[in-house]
Amino acid sequence: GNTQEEAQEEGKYQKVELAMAVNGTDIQIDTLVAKKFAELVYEASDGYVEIVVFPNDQLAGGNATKGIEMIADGSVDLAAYASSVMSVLDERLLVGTIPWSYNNYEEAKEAIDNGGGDYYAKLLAEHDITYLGSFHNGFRQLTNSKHAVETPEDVKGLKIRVPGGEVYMGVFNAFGADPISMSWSEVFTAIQQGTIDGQENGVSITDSSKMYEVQDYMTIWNYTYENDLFVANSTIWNEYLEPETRELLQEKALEACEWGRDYLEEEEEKIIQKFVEHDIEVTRLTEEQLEPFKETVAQLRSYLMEKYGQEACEAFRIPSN
Amino acid sequence: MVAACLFITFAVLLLIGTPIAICLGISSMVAMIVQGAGRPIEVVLGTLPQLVSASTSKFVLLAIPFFILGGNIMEKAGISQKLITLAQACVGHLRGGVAMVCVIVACFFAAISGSGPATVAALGLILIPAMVKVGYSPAFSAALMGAAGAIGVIIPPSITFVVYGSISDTSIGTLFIAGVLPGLLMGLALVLVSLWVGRKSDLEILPKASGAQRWAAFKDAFWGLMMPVIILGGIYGGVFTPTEAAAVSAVYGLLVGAFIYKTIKWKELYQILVDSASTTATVMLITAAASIFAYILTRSRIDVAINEALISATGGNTIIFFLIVNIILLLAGCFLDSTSALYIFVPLFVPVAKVLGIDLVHLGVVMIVNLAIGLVTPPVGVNLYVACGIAKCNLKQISVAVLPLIVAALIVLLLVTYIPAISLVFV
Amino acid sequence: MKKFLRNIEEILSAVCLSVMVIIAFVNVIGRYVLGASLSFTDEATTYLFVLLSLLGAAIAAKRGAHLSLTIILDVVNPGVEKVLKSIGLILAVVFSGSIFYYGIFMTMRQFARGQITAGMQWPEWIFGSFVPIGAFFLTIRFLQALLREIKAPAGREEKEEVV
Ligand code: NA
Ligand code: NA
Repeated sequence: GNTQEEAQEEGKYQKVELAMAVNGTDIQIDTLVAKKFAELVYEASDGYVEIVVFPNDQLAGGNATKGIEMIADGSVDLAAYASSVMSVLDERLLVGTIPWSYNNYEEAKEAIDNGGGDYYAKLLAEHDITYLGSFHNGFRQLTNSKHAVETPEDVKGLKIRVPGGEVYMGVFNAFGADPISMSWSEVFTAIQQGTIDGQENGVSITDSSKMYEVQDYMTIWNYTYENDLFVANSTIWNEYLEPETRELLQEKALEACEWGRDYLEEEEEKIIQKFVEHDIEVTRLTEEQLEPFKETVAQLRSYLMEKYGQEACEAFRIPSN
Repeated sequence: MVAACLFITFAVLLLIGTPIAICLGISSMVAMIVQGAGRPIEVVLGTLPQLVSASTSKFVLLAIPFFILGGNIMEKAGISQKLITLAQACVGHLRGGVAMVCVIVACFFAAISGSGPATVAALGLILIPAMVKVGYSPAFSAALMGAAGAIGVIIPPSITFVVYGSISDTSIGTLFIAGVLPGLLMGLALVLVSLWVGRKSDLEILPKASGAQRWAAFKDAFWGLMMPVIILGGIYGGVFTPTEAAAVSAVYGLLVGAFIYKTIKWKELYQILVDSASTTATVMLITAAASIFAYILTRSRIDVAINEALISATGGNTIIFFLIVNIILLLAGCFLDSTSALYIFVPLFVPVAKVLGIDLVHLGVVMIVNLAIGLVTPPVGVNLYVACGIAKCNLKQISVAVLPLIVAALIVLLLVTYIPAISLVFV
Repeated sequence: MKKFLRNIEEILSAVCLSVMVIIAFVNVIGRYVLGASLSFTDEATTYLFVLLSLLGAAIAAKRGAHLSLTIILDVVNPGVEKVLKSIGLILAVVFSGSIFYYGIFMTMRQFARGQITAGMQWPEWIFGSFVPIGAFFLTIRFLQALLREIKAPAGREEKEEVV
């Protein structure tokens, strides 16, 4: 009624409530970024544009693949998903996860902000999804309950839970480990009972799923970079939202992504300290120690680079072996 | 508005005798259409198949068909009968002895299984007929089995605690320890109720079996008794996960039935598979429809309304806070599955609990006991339905029969809520 | 052949459940004895579970085994009972029919996107089609139950199987 007209007179934003879906729990980075975004947008629009965040893939029954379908179909308006989860739409979205392509977060950011992001945008546009920005999900690290991992031989024979997909399967097969595809809900007790030896994940998820209660060794080896993609459904974005609202959302999405990147980089060190306090033996592999690891997966890297194509690899500045 | 449509449609359909799954499904569809007004209908209802797919592809629920299959095989192979004979030889001379066995075995099995319905599926096919045989009504036998199965989520390991721990940022190991005593207390309460119910009905009391008879029954039941040994040993020995254990139990039952007792023929196996699929699916269709129900509740932001009510009503008082928590969760437990309920309510309760200085482990135990009770409260009580399917009784009978058990469980809930030491003494 | 068509969901569900158990069991053996797991187990079994759930629900619909609250049905006169039961079954057809109808579109979208599964990286639509396939049988069986209810004289107990 009245208030809406007043706002439009001020020449500002449409009154709208948008649903944003993320996969993580309340304390994980994707939820934090989404909530930060909601806060920024709410303030800047004087409460006219409201973003409702649904963590844990609540709207998709906890199933990330169905969550991806829902953002592509327009059942939700906005979402943030890891590139490996999004890759069910196009496997080339995995290009940034090719093992040991970035040594640190600076390199990853450089690549994504100068070409990589545009490449994501191009692939996602074919699926009616608009790319708004991205933030770190984090480098994936290894934890296990058998022994410290310092050489490729140490990985051999370990039963490690991986999330399926040929990048993760490929790496652990290359080391002669036994990669296990197991539902995440069973991993904690499976490790506790010794059914499997370990898991690999970002530091933040390793922390929030309480792995430090059941694991003794952690290896910081940055073996693959995982990026979270901040996206909107294109139909809603282009047809339902007014230009000013779109502009505001795009600006605040980028701001939230930058906030998320800084937050995660800072937070990871704190979490690793916490692991040490919980008597986890943390091994940080040096450049030199990593060389034999990189050699072991060289063949896998070549295969993946060829598979995702030259354009993808150049956009993401993937170094060849 | 949306919530009103949802609950009113649901209640009307339920009363006129529409199948539960259909009540949930249709009322959710009505609410979705109301909520999505202005959006294309194919987008609004287009999520239906996705929700069905997401809710029926949950890995942890796989234990249901596997244990039901295993149980059906053991029944057909005659293993169950041998176990019943053994139980009768041991406790048949005691009034209500079989009911006690039922609860004790459920507690024991709870230490294996992380899920309520899996516990019922694994044990119901053996224990429900055993109770009926000594004179308990099928409805009470099924209700007791359903309630005893709920202990499976309180005594560790428990998937529900894993979910709570990761949402609330609480130690899962500590939660597991905190669940032991409340779980045992729940078992004790159920035993007392079944003794009380047994006093009222005409139970057959068998003459006390001799040592030789017991030994013979034991030898006869040996291969059946090996089943829990293999399952427990396999899980704690790190050979397989609890869900895989369910599949192993089915294969084990088949091997014993086909090669040791030679009581199962291939043709029978087909019928066993079909029956198991049917029993599983009555539960799964309700689960699928309940997930659509949970979707529209979440989507219509019922949590915001609850949060406001919670903060204004609590007024900084721990006793009132817990009272509200219990009422909300008991109501929610009537309609939602445990995981959806945790995702909706943990983020609401935890901040308030922190302000009030409540131990989050204690809150977790209170919440999980509530949700365990939710497994046997109609209209959406998965444990009840698994038991119902096994005992072939109707919903009205079992809903009445489960009442005294729910009352006993509520007393345990009150104790666990207001005596934190029950959860925290070993922590 | 006629018998096959009559029992097709039974045959499919028996196959489904057997395959699920075998995959899970072989995976245990593979991991524990051979130290080499099957990489597709959780994904394959959970997708089969979707099909099993819907096919099994169709069998249960045929058997009239879906649970309902009969407080009012038990006390009203046979004519009213017949009407109420018919309403319930019409709604059952609407619900399962909607899952079938929108399930077809879901599968078509998965096909059009070239969507792959997260683990095995197979085409998603193959597994997505389990929803409309299962819902098809469910809808048919509810529809048959509805026709039976309408045709049957009021007051007769409807429990026997459709043959
Ligand atoms: Na348990
Ligand atoms: Na319930």
